[in-house]
Amino acid sequence: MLFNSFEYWVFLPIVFLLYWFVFCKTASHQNLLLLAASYFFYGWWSWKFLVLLAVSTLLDFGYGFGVASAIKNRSRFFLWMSIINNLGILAVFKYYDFFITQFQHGLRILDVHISPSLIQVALPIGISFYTFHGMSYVFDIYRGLRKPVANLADYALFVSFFPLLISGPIERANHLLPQVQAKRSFSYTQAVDGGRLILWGMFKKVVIADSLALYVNEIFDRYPSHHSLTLILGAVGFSFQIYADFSGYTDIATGTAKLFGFELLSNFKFPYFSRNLAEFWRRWHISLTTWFRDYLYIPMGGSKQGKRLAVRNTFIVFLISGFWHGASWNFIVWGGIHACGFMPLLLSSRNRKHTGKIVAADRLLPSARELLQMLGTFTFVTISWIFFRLHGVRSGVDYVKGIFSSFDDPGEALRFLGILYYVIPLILIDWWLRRDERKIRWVSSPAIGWTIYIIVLTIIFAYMGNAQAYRFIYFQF
Amino acid sequence: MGRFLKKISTLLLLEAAVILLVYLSVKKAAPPSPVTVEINTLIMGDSHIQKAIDDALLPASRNVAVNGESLYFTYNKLADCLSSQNSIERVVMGLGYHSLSTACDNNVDGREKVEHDNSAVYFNHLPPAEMKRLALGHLANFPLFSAKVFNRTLAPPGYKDGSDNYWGGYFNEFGRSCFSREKTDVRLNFLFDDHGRERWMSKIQAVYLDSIIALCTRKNIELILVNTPSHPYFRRNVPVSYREAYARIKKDPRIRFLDFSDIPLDDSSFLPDGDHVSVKGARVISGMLVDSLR
Repeated sequence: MLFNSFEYWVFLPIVFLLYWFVFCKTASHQNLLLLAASYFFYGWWSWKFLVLLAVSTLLDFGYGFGVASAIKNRSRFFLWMSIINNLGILAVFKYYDFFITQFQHGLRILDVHISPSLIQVALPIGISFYTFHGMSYVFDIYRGLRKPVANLADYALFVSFFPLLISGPIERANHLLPQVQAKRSFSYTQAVDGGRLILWGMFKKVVIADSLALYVNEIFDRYPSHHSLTLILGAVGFSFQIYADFSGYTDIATGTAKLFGFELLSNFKFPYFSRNLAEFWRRWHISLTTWFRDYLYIPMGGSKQGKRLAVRNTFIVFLISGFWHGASWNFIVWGGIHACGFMPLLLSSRNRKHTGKIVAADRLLPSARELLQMLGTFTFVTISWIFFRLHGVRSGVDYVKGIFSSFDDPGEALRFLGILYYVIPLILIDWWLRRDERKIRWVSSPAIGWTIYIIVLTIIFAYMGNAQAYRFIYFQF
Repeated sequence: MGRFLKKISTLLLLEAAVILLVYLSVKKAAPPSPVTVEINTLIMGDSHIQKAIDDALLPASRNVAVNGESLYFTYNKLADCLSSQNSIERVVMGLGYHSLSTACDNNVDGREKVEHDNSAVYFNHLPPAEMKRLALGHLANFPLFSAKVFNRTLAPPGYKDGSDNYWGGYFNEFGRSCFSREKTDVRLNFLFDDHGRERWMSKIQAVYLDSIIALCTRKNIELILVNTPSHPYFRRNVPVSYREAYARIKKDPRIRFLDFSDIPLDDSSFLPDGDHVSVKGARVISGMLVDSLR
């Protein structure tokens, strides 16, 4: 069930009404309903993979107890069991075919030819997210940050809560579980905030991301025949498409969770207003970045054991983060590009710069220097997205080459200028909202507010009927 | 809670009313038909003829072909044009081997996957009885279908706008292109294969082809059917039954037939699917059509 499908808009009000009117007496009633709804939501796509979700949940629930109750060495054993179990699920369903194919190619170089069988199953949706939920839970118990949950339903809901089941944000046990265990009461302000976030998320997905996709797909699918300017427009278009798509998804997820009385972690804080790459990573897919920081980078020693180890750890984190996105070399290269871009900042100790407020937080416009810094960061990120978008590293290289070498027929780019029609308003609205990503700033006049609601809803409805409706990009991860 | 639900319900009701109002007013203010009194030749059909015939080269003509248009919609569009304009003397209509396949039926009655269904493009222009038929056919996906109708009525900017509206027009974005055997196989499979068996020939297409012929005969309009070029590899793989059925249509004495399917063109004159022409191919075929109609 997609957030931008009509089924979801039938499903959501039903669950909402049942939640607040029928199952509202205790937290466990509320949780049981949400758990059933979440399994229904997931099973709508594939009931077979519900078994995988349930097994993964049960195992981590058990490991949590194992880690908490065992003596130190045993505790580590259960932690490793959880890691092996979760990474094992990922290895089989997400990476098996990739590794086998690479192994086959490697042997071919040595003139050894084998034909191993591939499993070729559809990637279970949300697998990268719910396995990370499970691991973070067991990790936190191991580190003494929390105790295991006594109630299986509470834990199962933490792993499978439908707004974040498919594409996150990747929640932390310490943040979400206390909310799961407490009874939620309806808050009008929270529900209205949630409604606004859903509306804004839908606008970003349906109006901006899906419209940009029409242009971007056309450019990327036939990039060898396009002019340099068109290729630049395509790359910029994809940067904003993936941002509108994923942050739109996150807004809908966050808004939906608010309707049920939950607050989720932030995932995006206007990443394209970052002044360097380190700031970008503090603002883009924050829940994943901080997950890797807390459960991989820091346990490996982080930056506390000298520059050499910090460089190694940074490369490992970026490469694994790239690989997390998909079993393909282009994602690894994408991670590698970011690692390389991060190095000058790390080596000159400027990676902790701009950790506070967003650019021009107290001013209307950025300074010329800030503008240049933002443009530089955006350009770097946009070039890296080319490798993310195209399957095959060679294609990415050819695309970038094309930007600097395809100068015939510049008029062709006019056909794709519509990209700017969607990009410019998004930049302007984001700039206006930039001080708080969770709070859609609102006008004080109810009449103007309602007019804006109506206009936005009408535009969303019109664009929903566009030629193509696309899945969320991050569903494939 | 009550306050929240009241507000949401009010908002949704208001929204529904606004959508209806916008729809009706935009529909009413729709620009007049481009088929004006100066036009005496209509070029109709689907993407094959839309991409093949540049109407700028043929005086007093208008290409109104639309990507994926089935003959059911072509018939209704022709009836729509003839009811408002009596200057039409000639209809040039695309009809290829693919036109006989049931692959063309699906978006008439909502069986096509919603995202590929272009029937909403025609909704506002259909007679009430056909509107009802279309709406009922799409009942299972009615919210999305109505959004599509609303979308096409407003026609907000979108990349494919040039090819995805009721009046269509010559549109060929394939400046650099080349035939591909692999893509042609996909195309052949889509058109003529149904899970390993030969796809049935379409009854709907046959009925509306007959209706179009009858309508033109009744209105004393010359109907010229055009088979646009296809790559030799494509033609070789068209099932025999389709070729025989096509040959029977060609013998109909009420129609003039222009068969360009086997004119020699190089690979760059085709799209990768081997079944449509590129800009280069369109130049050739448009010129040939102009010569034939002189």
